[in-house]
Amino acid sequence: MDEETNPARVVVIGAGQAGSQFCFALRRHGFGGEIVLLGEEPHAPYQRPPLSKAFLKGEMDQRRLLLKPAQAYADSGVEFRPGAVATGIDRAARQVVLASGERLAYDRLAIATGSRPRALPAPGGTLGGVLALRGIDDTLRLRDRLDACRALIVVGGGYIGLEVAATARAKGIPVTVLERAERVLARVTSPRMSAWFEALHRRHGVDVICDAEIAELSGTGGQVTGAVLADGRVIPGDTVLVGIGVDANDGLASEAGLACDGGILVDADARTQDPLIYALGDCTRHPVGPYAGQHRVESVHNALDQAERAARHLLGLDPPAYDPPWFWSDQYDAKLQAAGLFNGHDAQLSHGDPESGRFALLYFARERLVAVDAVSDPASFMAARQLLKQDAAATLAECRAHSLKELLALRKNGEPVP
Amino acid sequence: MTRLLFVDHQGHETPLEVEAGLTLMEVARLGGFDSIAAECGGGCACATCQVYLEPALFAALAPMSEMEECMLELAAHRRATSRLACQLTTGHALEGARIELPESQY
Ligand SMILES: Cc1cc2nc3c(=O)[nH]c(=O)nc-3n(C[C@H](O)[C@H](O)[C@H](O)COP(=O)(O)OP(=O)(O)OC[C@H]3O[C@@H](n4cnc5c(N)ncnc54)[C@H](O)[C@@H]3O)c2cc1C
Ligand code: FES
Repeated sequence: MDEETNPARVVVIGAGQAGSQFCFALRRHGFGGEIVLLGEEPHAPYQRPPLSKAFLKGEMDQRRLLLKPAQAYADSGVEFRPGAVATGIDRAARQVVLASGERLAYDRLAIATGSRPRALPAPGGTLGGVLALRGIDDTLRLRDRLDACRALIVVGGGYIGLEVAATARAKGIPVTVLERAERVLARVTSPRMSAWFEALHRRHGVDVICDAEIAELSGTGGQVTGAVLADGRVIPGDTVLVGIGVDANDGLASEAGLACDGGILVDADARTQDPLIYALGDCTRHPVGPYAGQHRVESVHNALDQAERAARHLLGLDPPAYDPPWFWSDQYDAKLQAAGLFNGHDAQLSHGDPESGRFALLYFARERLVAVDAVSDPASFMAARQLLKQDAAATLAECRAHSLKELLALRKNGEPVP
Repeated sequence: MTRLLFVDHQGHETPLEVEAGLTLMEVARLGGFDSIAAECGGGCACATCQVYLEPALFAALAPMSEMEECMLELAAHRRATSRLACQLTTGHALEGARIELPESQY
């Protein structure tokens, strides 16, 4: 192989789910050059989903979060540098600048810096007891805090906030969820599914307040004591978890002159405009399969998928087959599994009875299936993932007549059912 | 000490020691055996931690949850003795077990 397909040194900024996967994908596909993996955190790469689930509950110890055993990096010839913060990218010199002042040369660069929780734009957001949740250390802080918590306020009814609410209820802590929009999960699912999750939380004793504009967080002695809403209501709470979404860590890229728009803009192979630089994971916005537009997809699957695509592209290999985006969330006994992108749908169907706690909502655009949200209905979810891969999208008529599982079986070779 | 043998699709064998409190998936992952994708990290949400057990062991284990059964039902390369490795807690029943991997987890 020549320099074109076999660069001498690949540098990866960000040792998270995407960055780590990318390094091992390069090795799996036979890359023999140097790999340097820079990670701001002191920890070896780990999975984040349990941070608001089993790990927060205290059901799993920290080592079980690791994506690979610590020695796997050295064993695979990946120079993993914990605590190494990149502060700049010098594209002209092909160097990454580190906080230590060191300049590290690259032949190819991957930016996998993830995203960071938005800060609450209200007075009192920096009081003691006001927490965000992104990393291991955040969960450890929240877990400690919950042990003595008498009332928890969750600001933001997104997945992370609702998972934390469910965990706190399991510990018997009174919980109020304050959501600024008219419904929870407004950004990520349909009004019907939002209503179902809101009712689920109410049944478990959570006070869910939508259209809640926070005027300020109040405190005494530097510690939070509650939230004051714009309409004057006062919600008491000694711990506040802020989960109002994340922003892409695209600062390094934009300072280096790479196009960003709420995320580093990359193509389907995770390439930026600079042919030597890839970007992957939560920090990117990119086209997704058959869906129009550019999307920021904050999920494990997306991080892994982009890592595989970038690695293959870097090595001159064919891209993998399209695999629709998917996500999951665990709250109480309910397991949500979502496949596809629901934005832009113009029709929906439900399969199963929402009252039973096991059902799926199917979303269609121009009568074609574009996404499925399945609640404790793994069969519909698994079938949906395969149907969404097929070139001839499943139709509204087919889905009216059949369950997704039946439809998958009936659609031989992905051909529509006559 | 309980020992297990993981066998990838090419037939490469990796002996690993079981640790109390880990699932079979975690024994593989933390032991550096990386033919198990385990995308959801043990959430029973992805089915990319499928393994094949020996029939006797399969029969001796507690039956699958409905969730696991449904995930496996539509998983690629499913066999009669398939299980999701993240749903199996390791213990004495697995002593000396031979755990085979499908040709792909996708
Ligand atoms: C609490 C929680 C629960 C979640 N639950 C789910 C779930 O159930 N299902 C799901 O699919 N997804 C879930 N997600 C989302 C999922 O974890 C992310 O989409 C995924 O981690 C993205 O991977 P990434 O590599 O892009 O970013 P990350 O995993 O965040 O990794 C980025 C890394 O880059 C480092 N970094 C940033 N800047 C620099 C720099 N300048 N120099 C060096 N290093 C740097 C960061 O410290 C970080 O370690 C959850 C996330 C959280 C926080
Ligand atoms: S790891 Fe995802 S189902 Fe086992």
